[in-house]
Amino acid sequence: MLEINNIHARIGEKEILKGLNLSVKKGEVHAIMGPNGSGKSTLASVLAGREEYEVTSGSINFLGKNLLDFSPEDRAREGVFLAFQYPIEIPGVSTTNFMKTAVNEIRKYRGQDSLDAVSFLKLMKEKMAYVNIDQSLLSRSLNEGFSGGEKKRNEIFQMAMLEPKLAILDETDSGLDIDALKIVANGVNKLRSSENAILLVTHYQRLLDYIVPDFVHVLYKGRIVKSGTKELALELEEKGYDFIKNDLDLMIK
Amino acid sequence: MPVSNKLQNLIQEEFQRFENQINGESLSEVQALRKIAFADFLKNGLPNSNDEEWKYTNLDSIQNLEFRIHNPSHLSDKEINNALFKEFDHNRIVFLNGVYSEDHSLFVNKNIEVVKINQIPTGQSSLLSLYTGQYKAYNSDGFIHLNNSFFKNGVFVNVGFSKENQLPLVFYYLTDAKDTNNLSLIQNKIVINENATVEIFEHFVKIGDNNSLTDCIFEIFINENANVSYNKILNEGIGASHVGTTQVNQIGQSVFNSSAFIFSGEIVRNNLNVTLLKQFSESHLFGLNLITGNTIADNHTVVDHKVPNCPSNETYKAVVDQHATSVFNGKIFVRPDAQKTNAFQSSKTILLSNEANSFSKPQLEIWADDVKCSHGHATGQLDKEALFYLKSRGIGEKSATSMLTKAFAMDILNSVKNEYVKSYLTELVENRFES
Repeated sequence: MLEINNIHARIGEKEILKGLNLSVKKGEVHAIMGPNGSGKSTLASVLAGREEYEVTSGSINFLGKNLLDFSPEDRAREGVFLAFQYPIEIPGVSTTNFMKTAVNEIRKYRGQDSLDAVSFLKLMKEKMAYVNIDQSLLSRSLNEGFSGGEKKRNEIFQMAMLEPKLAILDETDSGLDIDALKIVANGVNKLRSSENAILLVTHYQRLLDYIVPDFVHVLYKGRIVKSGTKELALELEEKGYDFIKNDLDLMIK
Repeated sequence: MPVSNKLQNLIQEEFQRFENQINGESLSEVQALRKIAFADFLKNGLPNSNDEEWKYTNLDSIQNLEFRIHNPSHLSDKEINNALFKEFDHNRIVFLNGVYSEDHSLFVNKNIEVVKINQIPTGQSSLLSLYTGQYKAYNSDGFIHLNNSFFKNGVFVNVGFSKENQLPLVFYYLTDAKDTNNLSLIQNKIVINENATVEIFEHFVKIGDNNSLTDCIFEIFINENANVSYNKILNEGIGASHVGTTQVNQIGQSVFNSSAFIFSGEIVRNNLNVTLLKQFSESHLFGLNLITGNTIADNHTVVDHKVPNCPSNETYKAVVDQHATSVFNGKIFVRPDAQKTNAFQSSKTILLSNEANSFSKPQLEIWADDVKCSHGHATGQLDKEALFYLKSRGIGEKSATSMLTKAFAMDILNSVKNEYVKSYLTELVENRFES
């Protein structure tokens, strides 16, 4: 589904991704872990098409198409979803109205008719249940005054609404207490299927207790330096990133 | 001496003709006022960009057009009807090419009395002078002189307290620009009596592809315990220019709410002056410029606190695309007696293109010492993070811009109390990015 091939990316003059390779097949959940500044969020941003990041070389193939050719909105329409680490507050735009526009623009792109008001409400009701989100929250301005947990639940709600083929969850666990984490993880697990793939970007192993990955990769200095199964995450949790850093810094030198 | 140009020359010729037309009025009080105004006009001409008040609003594009003053309208009843609001019942006052049309006007409520200004009996001309010319304290430029020189077309409206359901009062100014460029000069006076509550709309519509210039003075006198909501809609399209002055005199303890919407036009200058003359009155002024192309939309406001204990606030917003220019100039006077004044002013502009312009100038003159006054002005772009967030969900550039613009404009749209007009305007905002 996703083939990232020797990607180099920079923001301004600073190169952050330095030859990253990753292959994700449908039905798989991959966790990307790594210390601060290793390039995890950059990877998420590059996949979603954030303009500040410039891809200088390499390729990203998504379902047979060159993802880098697409605008952010077209990536979303092709089935890429980014759950933001810091969801944006937009006063004056309700989540309901926002989702209605999003769902219908995506449907239009795919040559489908717009959903009428009744079908849309029905769809919303169904998806709200995934993350126990309340109708009143969705009528309010998008994320404005939401708690950290509510914002993250709203991200997963949006994911449920848009049914992406590839979901990238950028530090979705950050700022969540254990109850909120369980709700969010539970929502994500319900959305897992053999048809889609999930990329979990996280600092901590904690999230992986709830969303169990098929593969774990360690990102360091802009490259994936170690890959393994969920046991790798446990090892990292126990030993810290230093054990990898020490080995690698020796190697890189 | 003013610079000679087609508009200036036309006005001079027309004034001679106008004077000859007015039979039996040559010695009247009104005619004396006209003559003084015309002398002032000859002396100063129309304003130019050397004038501080017109620094950002360049009139060059209209000064050399061939206008005709109050060219007879050939609008059909159907065309006129199409321009009217159908969604809600209202009283209406219709002007066609600057001339009051009794036939097309309609008064549902009995508490509204209308007299054509040139039909006010001579004996009552004192009534007229009592209610005329307050705006001169703040505006006395060529457009005012011009308007006063031809002071004839317009109505004097008296709104009494109504026991029945008070319907809104809509002034329609329709211009037939199908065959020629039309210049309209209109001056209306409206007195809101004690305890009356009324919504007033001024709606300007140009029909046809030629140019128009509407020079309009609108004076409102608000008496004790009255509540006025006043909305002005300027969306006449390409080739339509407007210079209007609204003077509000809160002579009784009263509440005044205003909102001005400038959505299109060539040069659109909207002066709004509010004079607070009675303690514990309040004024709330809102404005939204949503413009593109080469439109210049210029809001000049004056809020004059002459007495103590009055709050006033102004919130003006603009979204400016392509080569358009938005101007906000806000004067606040707090006179020596106006202690405990609370005056607030804010203007915010979003520029959507690199060629768009925004100019903002607050002018606060405060003579009293126990007052609260604040002002803030900001110009920026749409929030890039917010745009990316919307796009990352599959929402395209146009829809995302439209959503964020609507959200930005929401508080101004919400200042319109009439639900129908609010949704009419909201739809215009939503559709702005469709084409």
